[in-house]
Amino acid sequence: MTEVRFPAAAPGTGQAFAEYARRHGDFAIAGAAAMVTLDGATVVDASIALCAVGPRPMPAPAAEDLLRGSEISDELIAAACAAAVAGLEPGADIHGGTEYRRGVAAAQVRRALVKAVERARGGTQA
Amino acid sequence: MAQAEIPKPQAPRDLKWIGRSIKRVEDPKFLRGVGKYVPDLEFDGMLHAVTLRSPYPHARILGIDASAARALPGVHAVITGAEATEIVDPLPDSGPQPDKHVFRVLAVDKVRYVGEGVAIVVAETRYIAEDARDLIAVDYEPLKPIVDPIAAAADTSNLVHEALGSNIAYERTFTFGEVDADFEAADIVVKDRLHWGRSAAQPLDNAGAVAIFDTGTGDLTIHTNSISMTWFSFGLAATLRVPSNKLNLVPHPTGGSFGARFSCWRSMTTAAVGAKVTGRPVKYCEDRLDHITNGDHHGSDRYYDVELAMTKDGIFTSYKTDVIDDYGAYCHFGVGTHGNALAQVTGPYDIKSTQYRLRAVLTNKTQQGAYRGFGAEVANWAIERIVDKAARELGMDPAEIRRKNLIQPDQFPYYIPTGNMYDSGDYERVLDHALELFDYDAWRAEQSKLREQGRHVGIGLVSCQERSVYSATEFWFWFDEPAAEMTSTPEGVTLTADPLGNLTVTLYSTPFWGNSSDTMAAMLVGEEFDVDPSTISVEHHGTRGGLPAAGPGGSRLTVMLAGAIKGAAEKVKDKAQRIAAQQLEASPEDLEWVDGGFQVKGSAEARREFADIAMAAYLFATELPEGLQSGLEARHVYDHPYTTMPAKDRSNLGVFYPCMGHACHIAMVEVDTETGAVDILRYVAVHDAGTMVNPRSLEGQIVGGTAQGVATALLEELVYDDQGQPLSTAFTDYLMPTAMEVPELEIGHEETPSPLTEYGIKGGGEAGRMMAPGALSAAIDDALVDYGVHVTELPATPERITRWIAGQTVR
Amino acid sequence: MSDETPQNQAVPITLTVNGRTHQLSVEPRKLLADVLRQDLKLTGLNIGCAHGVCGSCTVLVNGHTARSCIMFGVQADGAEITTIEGVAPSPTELHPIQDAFWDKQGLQCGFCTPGMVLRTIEILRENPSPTREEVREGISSNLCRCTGYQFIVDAVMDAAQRLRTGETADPQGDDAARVAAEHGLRVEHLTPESGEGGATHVPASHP
Repeated sequence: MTEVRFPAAAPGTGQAFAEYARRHGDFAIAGAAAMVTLDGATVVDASIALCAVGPRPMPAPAAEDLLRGSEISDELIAAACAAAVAGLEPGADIHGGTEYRRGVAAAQVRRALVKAVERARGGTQA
Repeated sequence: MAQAEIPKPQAPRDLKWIGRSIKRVEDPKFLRGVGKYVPDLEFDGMLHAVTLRSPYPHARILGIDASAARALPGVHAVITGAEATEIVDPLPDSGPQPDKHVFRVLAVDKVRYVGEGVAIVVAETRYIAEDARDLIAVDYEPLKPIVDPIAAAADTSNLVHEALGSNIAYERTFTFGEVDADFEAADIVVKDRLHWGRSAAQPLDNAGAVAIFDTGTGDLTIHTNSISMTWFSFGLAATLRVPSNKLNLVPHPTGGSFGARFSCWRSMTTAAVGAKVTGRPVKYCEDRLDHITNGDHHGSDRYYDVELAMTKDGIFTSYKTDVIDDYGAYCHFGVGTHGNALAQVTGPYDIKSTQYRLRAVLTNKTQQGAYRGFGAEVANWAIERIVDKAARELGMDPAEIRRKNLIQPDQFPYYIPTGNMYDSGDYERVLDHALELFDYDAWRAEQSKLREQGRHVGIGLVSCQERSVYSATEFWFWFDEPAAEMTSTPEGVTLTADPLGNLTVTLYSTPFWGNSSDTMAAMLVGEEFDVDPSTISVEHHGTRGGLPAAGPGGSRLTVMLAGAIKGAAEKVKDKAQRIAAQQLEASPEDLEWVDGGFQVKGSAEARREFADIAMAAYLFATELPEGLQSGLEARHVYDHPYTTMPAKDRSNLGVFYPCMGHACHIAMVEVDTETGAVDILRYVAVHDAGTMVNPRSLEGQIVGGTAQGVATALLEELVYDDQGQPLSTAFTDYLMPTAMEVPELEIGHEETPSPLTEYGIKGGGEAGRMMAPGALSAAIDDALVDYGVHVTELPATPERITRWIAGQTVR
Repeated sequence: MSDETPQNQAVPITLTVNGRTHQLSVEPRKLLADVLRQDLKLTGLNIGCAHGVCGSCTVLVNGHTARSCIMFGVQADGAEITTIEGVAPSPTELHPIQDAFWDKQGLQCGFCTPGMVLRTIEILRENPSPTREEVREGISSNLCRCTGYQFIVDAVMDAAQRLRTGETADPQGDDAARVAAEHGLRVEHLTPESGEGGATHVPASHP
């Protein structure tokens, strides 16, 4: 690989990443990245991906579909979180079982989404 | 050495060095990386040993084929378990019935835990030894693993040790005082069911040894990082089948102990087996996997049912403990960790009676050894848990219920129901100091505000004992007919002044393991002779020709060194005084020691500096008083300052751990209810370890011990699956905290001198870990009070916390 | 299986360690930690976990911390390496970072100390005026079992002060910068503001 290019984000876009690990710097129990583009209160575009919950980074298309075209609200974010982790079967280990990791994943999705929305609203591309 | 009267504590006299946070004398070599730990040692012709470990928790060994391994170039020897029985006897074992749970360096007929040694390979390099190890074929017949200690206790068919006829290695109930009557009379009885999970000290350095067998003389020299090699070196000599005076154990620094460098019989024996077979120096250093799975030093793994009887006003009257302890496959320390618990089982509280039922259960796991607190930290957690539960039941503030029950200053010396004595203390003063340092009322108000914002913030407080300076009775008072009613836990030193008066202190059984033993010794000598501690040389002597010494352990060493050095200094000074008197043509009684020399009382010009006296002692025999020989040196052995024997019927265990430290820890945490993560927001620790020698070093122990307590409470766990496979066998999964997981401590000190020890010193090395688990458990409870959470199992992992929040019981 | 398998055939490498160049012949499978400890008798670095977690085996490779227990000696061929033995300016003087660790009792057993000192060199080169929190983050790459880290943080803060006030120059400073320049290594570290979601940079040496 010699080069990677990313398109510039559209105006009104915010991004965020949230993860939780038991020990600083360790592999996460679960993590989520979210990107949201807003037009007023309407979600124009959304992208969500999770880490540490499957064999590879896991996109969450159902949650993205739910967000796109809808008005942003706490209920919408909660629904998107549920959709993002529905069907995930994160592998259990001594640091957390499947159910626990799914719960942590949902929380990370919400945290990433809330932050991304906040940034999209603030217009700051952190 | 029982004393009839316990004197009242006295403030130490004016001191020059004791009480100052001087830089440690040990440090430069470690800062430069030239401290030389055992893995760094090299000898001509040295070979390297590794151990083949069992992959099965429980299996019969049907056969071992080591021919391919033996044929590999560079391999000098492969020794199987059966072959090792021809070379060495079982390892020293304080367990209840050593002939029925035989503890050997290698398994013979049966393996009893994953990691147990099956064969030793000795080769030119460790790389080759590990290659050869892979070529050994062992034929195992797997047996059903014994994993759950509660089920194992009831099982009489599937046994860890068939000869024992049971998986219960020890069971007994001790009753001290009128327990039944006190429970009968109680207004309220609070009950709790608790599980303290398995963790381990895991110092960054592992156990290691280099054995050198002199084929000409039969001398066996073992360079070791054991910290208790002197006391039982004769026992190891028996294991190794060498005369005790042919065995010399030479101490070397080790990268931490926290209990894990006690005994280390396995590493020394492994190296010695190799040396005896090959006639070459052999090094055996555990790697991390060896240490975690075959290091003989897992910590307590206890299942408790505890009950507290009290009046409706919250006055505690009696306390009952029923505990099952999962010892793993052997129990080389016996149930000494419960003896430790019994030293302070009723905590700092004025409780009239107590009962203690112990079942020590064997399972197919790595055996327990020692970890900072040696079992008393677990008992601290248990009583603090139930005190918190009682407070919640009565609607009392945790500080106030404790204040109501603390032993008062005028009650010392205070005898707890088990018979142990607390020498001195002022617990309420420590509590008040901690509350003030924490600014308790203001932070309770802040907590309310934060809670209104929806944040789950909690404050937890504990008031705990730290017993220090053990005597050996705790290892045998368990038995009506003990194998040996051993009562000596001595510590000897030699103090030598050279012709220029420069001083060397020689320590026995005391290599360096991270605590500041050299600095302590140097400060104590400096104090006696009015010289800068940095000018004192500190030597570490091997066992052969050494003085009696028990080494570090049970927070004893500073106290014991103080006694030994004081005694040796008096002898040296006494001789110096007689020489000075001769030189000054005065009577010895007319001289006094002033600032590094002897002078005629009230006449500073008639004076001899210590250096002048030393020169005379070495080179001018004709100037010496009649009957004195040349030289200026003294040996002194200090015995335990106060021990009494247990009652024959064990209704009273006697005094065995009297130098009683105390601490109050207050933690403030925030719990993330979605992930179960615990964030420590503030942490206050106030300690009373008697007179402090080097406050900065003591604080280092407090911070480090507290960090380990945080780890025990939240992070570290030696997990076994239901098939007996260990799942946390590397630091990737055994979550030793980084700097990001441990708090910044705000530390306070009180100094209530011990009436029993020189300068009033008490031990303080284990303290932090004896308090932090209780404080954090209480803080988590408080943070999650809306969910009714009561922490009953450690570590309180994030997953367990989310399950408690969801209302599920873990234990 | 046998000693003739190619993986055990020694190969020549060149290492410059603490300013001295060594021509060595090592098995490809030999860990850098073992090459330094056994072939060059530099036993200051310690092996604590052998998994690259604890950082006791830390050395500077071309100016940057590396874990010598999970790196082969052959991977360091041609590299400039600093071990703890090369940190002090002379046999009778300590580096200011070592002095600060001594003053603040930033060590107990000393086993993690070589790694902590070398990591501190790196932390303070990247950020000469760190906050306590930044120091904690920085040293979280290395485990210490004794101290609970608080006095190590004190020591690093004190060392930063000593180096800033220029009482004592960093004897490692020029050397390391030169090495980094020669090898054209550029590691861009994200600041909390430059990353997403308040991410802070993870030390390059972290597992």
